Amino acid sequence: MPAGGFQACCRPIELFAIIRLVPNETEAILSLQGLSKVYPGTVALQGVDLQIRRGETHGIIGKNGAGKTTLVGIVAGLIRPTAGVVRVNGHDYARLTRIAARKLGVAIVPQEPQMVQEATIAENLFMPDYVRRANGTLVDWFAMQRAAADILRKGNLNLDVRTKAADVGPGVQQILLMLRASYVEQAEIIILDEAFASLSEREERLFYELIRERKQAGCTILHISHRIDELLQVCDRMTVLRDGRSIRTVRREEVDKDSLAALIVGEDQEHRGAVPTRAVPTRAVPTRAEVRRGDGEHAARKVFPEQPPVLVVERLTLAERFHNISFAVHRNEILGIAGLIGSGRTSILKSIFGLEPHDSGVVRLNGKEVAIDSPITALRHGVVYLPEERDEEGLVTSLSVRSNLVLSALRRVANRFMIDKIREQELARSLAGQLALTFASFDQEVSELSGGNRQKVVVGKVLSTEPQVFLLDEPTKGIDIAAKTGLLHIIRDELRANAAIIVTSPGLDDLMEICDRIIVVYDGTLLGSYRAREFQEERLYKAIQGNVVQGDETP
Amino acid sequence: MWTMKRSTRVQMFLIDNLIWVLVAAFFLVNAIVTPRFASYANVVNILYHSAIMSMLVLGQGLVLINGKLDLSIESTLGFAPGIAMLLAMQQFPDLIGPITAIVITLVIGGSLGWFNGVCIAKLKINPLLQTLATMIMIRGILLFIFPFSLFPLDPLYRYAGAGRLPGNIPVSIPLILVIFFVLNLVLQHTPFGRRFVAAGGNPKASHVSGINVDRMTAYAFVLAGVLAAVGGLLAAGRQGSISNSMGEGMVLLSFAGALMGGASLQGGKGTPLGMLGGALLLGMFSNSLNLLGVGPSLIYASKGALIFVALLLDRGRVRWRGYLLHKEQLEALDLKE
Repeated sequence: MPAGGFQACCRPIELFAIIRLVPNETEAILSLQGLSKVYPGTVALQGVDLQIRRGETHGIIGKNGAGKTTLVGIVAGLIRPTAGVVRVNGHDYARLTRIAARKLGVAIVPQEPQMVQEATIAENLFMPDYVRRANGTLVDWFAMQRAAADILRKGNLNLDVRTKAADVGPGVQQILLMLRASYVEQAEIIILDEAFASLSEREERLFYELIRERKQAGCTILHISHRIDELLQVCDRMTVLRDGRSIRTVRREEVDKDSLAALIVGEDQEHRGAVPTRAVPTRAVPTRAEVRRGDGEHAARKVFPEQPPVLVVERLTLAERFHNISFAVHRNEILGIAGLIGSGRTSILKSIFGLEPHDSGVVRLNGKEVAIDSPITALRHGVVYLPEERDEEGLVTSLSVRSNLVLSALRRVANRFMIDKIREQELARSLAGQLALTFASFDQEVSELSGGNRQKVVVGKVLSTEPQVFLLDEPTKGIDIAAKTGLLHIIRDELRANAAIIVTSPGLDDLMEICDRIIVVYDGTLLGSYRAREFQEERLYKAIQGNVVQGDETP
Repeated sequence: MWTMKRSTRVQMFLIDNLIWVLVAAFFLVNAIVTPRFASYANVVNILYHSAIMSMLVLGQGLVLINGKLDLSIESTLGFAPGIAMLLAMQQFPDLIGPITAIVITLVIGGSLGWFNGVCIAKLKINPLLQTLATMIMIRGILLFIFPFSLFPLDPLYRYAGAGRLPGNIPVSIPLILVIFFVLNLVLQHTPFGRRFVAAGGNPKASHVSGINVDRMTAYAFVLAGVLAAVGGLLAAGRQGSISNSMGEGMVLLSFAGALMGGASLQGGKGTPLGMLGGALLLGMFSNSLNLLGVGPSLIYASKGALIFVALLLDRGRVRWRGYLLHKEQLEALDLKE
């Protein structure tokens, strides 16, 4: 969650902090014993023990690849464990199917909403046990729609139940799944697997309301996240996972941000990145935050003197997405684009890269107008794009790690006709080292890697092209804390040396740490531009919500 | 990063080259079981008779690597040499010599492939339906303008299919081996080949990586068409005549060869050398059944069974690979109890 983001959703959470139920200390509704799961290519869990008490909200936190999703997947009956026992309400299960878990009252709200897109909201809510007529065979559409409407009212959603799932956003779908778990399945144990990842601020508030209501109703909630703030707001207890092992279970009162972060990263490692603006800096290289604070700023500006702009965008417009966007990026500059989901930040990058060609407006590179209408021309002009959807747009999962890493830079490793295997290996090795990739061999198929490592492969692929403009669409999405910090450093210190960078992020933390300038888009229009020395979280935060007090300069 | 045990690495290597393991095993078993199977003459015979099918297998394999499929290559196999020789022998006998006729044959094959490729890449027509239409269309045209057999063919035109080198080796054997090795080299070791395979594995990601995915699709179909025309050239040369039913029924077996050779319907998988193995296995299979005195209908049925076995093997290969990696890790973790 953006550091600024939780300011606004604090209010409902504070409310339910007061009415937090005191969980019964003795009764465990769910207990996991010696749970292990091994995948080809990764060990997800190693002998995890865990006790969840009835009625508590239990957080599970850990870095990307720590095993959070696998753990709850086993509880929900989606994943079959390699070893270990799941005990629900005193009964032992060596493995659960989804249907069995559902009968036991376990519901899951997954990271990506999974709904039948072509079915209506009402159908999706009551799937698979539709409301039937008295004779029990035919679906009673009217009764079902009435019941669905009641449920939507409980979730404060103002929607027609006959709307197709495909026509509401992923955030709303997420809320619908929570409603289904709560009121249709009436689950005793609700698992939230990074359920907040794709929610807007408003949807997040609605979701918190639902969690609060469920806690009051006595539900047990298993809340998975890698956002520390979020867990500290919601949970009674938290379990930290690291490298597939359960490290410690702590009560909310025992920890604060820093100590929890230390647990997640590991004692021997220095924690950096989760709370970049307020952490006491202990590293040698000054962060953006420090640079902002003092004389570091002059040093930074001296190293990279004012350059003519590399990329200039004038009155860029794409119907229904964004209008009259104008800005310029200089060599050695990092420009952040901040905005909510759907604000147009991703579309702007895709448009510059030629994936969604703009309707009107001008793009200039080094002063010359260019017509970029496809990724091929973009790459030829030295513009590279890191896609937000890595598995779909970033990787060829049937190919090896090595082939994926060098895919965009084949010219660099080839002589006139053939690929030079030695140069290819060198490039792959250096990229892997830079990003701290972990895998068995360069010949391994990417499909056999863990999610976090796959994402690093895409980042490596983009780095390999050595362009003059980087367009990075959420480069830190889903990357663990250590890798994230490392990546931000690479962007700030290395990529910037030879190129201009435009970066987007759903949160302000990352942008404030590395950017020289942040522009804010809201509903497809550019609202303001802020220089590094004037970054104020609250102000930026208000701007991305559409409330501009006053921009620092005309963009 | 853990290092794999030597035995696991060997097994992984064998799984990744499963087709050659099968070819070797099948050969050894038949050398013992089937009389005269392992003789020099028979081995040459197998290669000779696999040559035509191997061109279709390779063409189909390339299209499968691209993530599509092509039914029309079996019609192209008859159509390309048929039209070329019709022009050469009846329409313009003075203008078109045998060499020009060979070029025309290949150009016709390539053009038909290009037509398929462009319709599929640009108009987004489903490849199954597009190539089905082409297949029926050009077979129909061939039957219409070609209600007879065409012979005798020029000896130079026949050379690729019927010619013999010293040692009584048919010209077609070194010819197809060169084609397989060159395409293997191109696919594995050139930037073009990498892009080609990547575009098949994930078109969207390849597009973002700056690969012209549509063009790769067109190339795949053009290559398939040209290779089918080469197959037609070999078939015409061997028979010494061109009939309007040439190639009928071969396309389904081309799938069998390509799938056994490591291709997958999802695209992005397989190598030309694997396809060669697939084609050889098909050839050895019918050859050994022939020698054992099995009738042609039953051989056809057995080939159907072979396709099914190929599909099972493909699933087994994926699982076995996963299992091996899994076991390695369990051992590395000492978590096996």
